[in-house]
Amino acid sequence: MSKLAVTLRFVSGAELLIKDEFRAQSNKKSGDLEFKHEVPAGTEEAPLRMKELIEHVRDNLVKGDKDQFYKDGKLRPGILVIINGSDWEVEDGPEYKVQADDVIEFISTLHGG
Amino acid sequence: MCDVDTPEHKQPLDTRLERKRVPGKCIKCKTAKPNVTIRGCLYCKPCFVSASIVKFRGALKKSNSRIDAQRRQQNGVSEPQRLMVALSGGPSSTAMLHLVVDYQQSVTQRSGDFVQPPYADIVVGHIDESALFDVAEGAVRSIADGRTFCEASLEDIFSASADRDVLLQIVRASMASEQQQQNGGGFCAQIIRNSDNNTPPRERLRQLFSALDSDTSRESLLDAIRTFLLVRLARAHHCSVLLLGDSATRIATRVVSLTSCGRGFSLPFEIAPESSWFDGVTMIRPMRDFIAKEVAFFNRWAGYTSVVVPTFTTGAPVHASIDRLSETFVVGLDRDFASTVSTVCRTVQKLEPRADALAACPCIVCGMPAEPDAQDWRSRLTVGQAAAPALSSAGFDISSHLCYSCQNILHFSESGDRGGLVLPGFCVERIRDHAVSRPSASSDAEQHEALRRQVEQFFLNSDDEDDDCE
Repeated sequence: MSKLAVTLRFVSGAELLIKDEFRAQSNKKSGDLEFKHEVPAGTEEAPLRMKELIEHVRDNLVKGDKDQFYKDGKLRPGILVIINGSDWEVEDGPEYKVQADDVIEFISTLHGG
Repeated sequence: MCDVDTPEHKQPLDTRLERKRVPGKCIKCKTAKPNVTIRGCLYCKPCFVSASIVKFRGALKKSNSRIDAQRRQQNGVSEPQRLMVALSGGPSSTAMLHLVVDYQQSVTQRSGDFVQPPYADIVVGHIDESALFDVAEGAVRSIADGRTFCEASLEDIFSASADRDVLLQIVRASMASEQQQQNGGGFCAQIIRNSDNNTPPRERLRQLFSALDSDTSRESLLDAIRTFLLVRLARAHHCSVLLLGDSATRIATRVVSLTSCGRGFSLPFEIAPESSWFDGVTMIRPMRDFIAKEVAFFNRWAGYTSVVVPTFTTGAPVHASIDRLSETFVVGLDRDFASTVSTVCRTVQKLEPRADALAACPCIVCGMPAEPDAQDWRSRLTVGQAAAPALSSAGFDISSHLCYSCQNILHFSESGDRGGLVLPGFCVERIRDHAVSRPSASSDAEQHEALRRQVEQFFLNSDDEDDDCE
């Protein structure tokens, strides 16, 4: 299956959920995480949507308790997603079709991260 | 004149049409592609940032004018005050600091003429929590961006301060006897002088927190200590106004969690837009109209970086504490019903403290008003003669000086092998302050005088000791 390279950012507490091995790939000096990541691109009929990308992140990047990130088929409330600088809710939310080189950001707004 | 067809009357109709939303466009400029949706409204990036600034200033000005009116009533005049911004380094307080500095500058730079700035000075107040949590050193200081940075550490509550020796004084709370606990959870606590003065403050602080039974209690106590230190810091730097960065999401969460913790009596003070409960320091919450999402987007687009402020439940499951559970509840509801947070906040802003809450004596632990009959209310068991054996003669019964919620916190703590829980000296200070300030003309003057003398012993002896040392 072909791959799609996107930039992932985890900030404001969301980085605490990510496995330590990705910290080495990060180009940020502060606690924030930002790195290029390859995800399975999906097919022509079923291109990769945000929903699948989030599930990929949950399965491959999130450490420990996965419920902290994704529960009952939804991203945990309080975690915001920004796609190329815009709120994902003004894009198509979970239905958004991921493009190569997209910058996808996860921001935790929960108290204490 | 009453003819509705006159051109003048058509004007409002047009304006109304202009106000109409353009589908798929920003609600403000109606031309740009939107970048964010807040409570079902679409905004583009520039409109969102400017709307946030306007909203913040609106909330702050509203609070300022209410405080000014109060001051004029009391003193006849109202001068610009010194302002302290409570900065934890988290997203909301970071945004607040930048917004208030920006407001101050915008007023003074508006024209060439001299304009009186809204505040005499803006200083940053920060509580260092590194005794309990891992925090990146210097990260918060860099957010303050060169402003006067006043800092206090959590462990300061256990250390001597140059001007107030009484803080040296450490007291012990002894828990209710086993028999009482079995009899339906009656509460009884006394303080006696602490003989151990060798434990370093940091260690003492950690012991205090580890003695508590749950993260809910720990978070409550941390809140109380933080508030105490912030108020003291503001007073020490002559700031009569203290800005707190509680966002709307945070306030809605606190409403649920404080109510669940039994803090309903003091709730109006703890979530109010302005509160003057603490003498000489008015607290304002100018971020009260921002939901957490707005704060996150504002910081991102304005280019402000914040830090993660850990709590006892960082990374813990949702049921780790009442506060975390309340947050999950509120935030979860808000996702499916976009106005939950603002509806809760609007509703609770109408809460007014009861007259007896305004007159109540402060709880010696949290400093908030303590319901006078919290103990009776809690259980029909009162501390009478039956409990006397548990109280040593040197002790001072503090049960009636604790609010219901703090009674709970202490009640379920473990005293361990130290023979009691070592409470910070400000607890005794609060009893004394109250004893001194209360009018002695009241009917229980005699009783009051006895109380004062009893509390004095905690301080007088400490002075004697100091003299000996010298």
